[in-house]
Amino acid sequence: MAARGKLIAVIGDEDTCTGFLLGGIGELNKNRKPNFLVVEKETSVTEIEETFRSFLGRDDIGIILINQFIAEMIRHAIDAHHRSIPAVLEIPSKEHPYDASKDSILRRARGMFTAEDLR
Amino acid sequence: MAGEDEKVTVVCQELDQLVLKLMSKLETLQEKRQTFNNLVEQGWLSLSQSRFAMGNKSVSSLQYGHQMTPSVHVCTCACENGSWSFEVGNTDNGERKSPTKGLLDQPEVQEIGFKEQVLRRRKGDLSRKDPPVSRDIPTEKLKSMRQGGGPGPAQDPLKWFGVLVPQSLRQAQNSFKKGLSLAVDIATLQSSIETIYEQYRALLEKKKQLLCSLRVKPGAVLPGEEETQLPGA
Repeated sequence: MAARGKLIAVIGDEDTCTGFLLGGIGELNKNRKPNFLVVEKETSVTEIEETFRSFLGRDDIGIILINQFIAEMIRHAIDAHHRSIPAVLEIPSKEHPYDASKDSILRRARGMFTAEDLR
Repeated sequence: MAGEDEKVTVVCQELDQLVLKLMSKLETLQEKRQTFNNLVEQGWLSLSQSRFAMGNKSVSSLQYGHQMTPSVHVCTCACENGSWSFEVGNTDNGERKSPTKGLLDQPEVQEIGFKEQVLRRRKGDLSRKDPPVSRDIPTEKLKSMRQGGGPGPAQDPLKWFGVLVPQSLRQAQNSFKKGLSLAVDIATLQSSIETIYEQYRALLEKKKQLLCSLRVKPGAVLPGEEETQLPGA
């Protein structure tokens, strides 16, 4: 069952956003709403969370790329997201390398095996 | 009794299969992640090089275009096992290279031909009024198939940063484009890992229920407990 094409959204620092926008994912829709958020020093956590939630609510977004250090700020919102679409991908940033132990998906997969289950 | 033992054995085998599948997916995910991270790092390096060549403020969010049309789309597809697969669909110069490309191409060509035909008629004989040709239907179909009325052709984002951009900026663009296709693969893998996780939990629950029902029956020997019993005990 093929659906129509969806967008890739990005929440990240300036270099991450610039890079992926160069890749051709950027869109300003009819309401001039972008599918990206450049997080700067003065960007508040509330704004990041609101943007993330608005991306989750948009049905034209298929994948959300988010810098892992930003994902850490809104971890509760990311952990609460269980739907397959939009898929949330945590990516590294210039100053913060990727840490698999912080990734929501991998933490969930690691939680599969408890001592109780393996008895 | 033997039937229930067999059921438990079958469930255990299925669980083992799922774990093996999961391990294989996790291994692939790790490899793809590594490649993706390397590509993104390469992209940042190229961006920094172009900043060095063009000036610090020349490659920043201030240069983003006022009009943005995406040239990369993601096509989602539900798989049989409940997971989702993602595929990259490019839109270059307003032309989609997605699985529905063939469907979109044909009416577009017809539309161009129709417009030319109308123009020729206008030049030839203005007084003659032909009945309207019922070609509106394919055009409507085309409009409905396009997204939200169809934005214009996607402009190359490189042009936001000038006409003659350094080679490093092009390299950065290539790195991030490759990274995007990998990101889509990673999203597919993540979705399948989540599906395996759900299947595993469901099977584990089923196994627990079967074991409980076996324990309730007196004198039942659970699978895996045979060897623990002493001979003659």
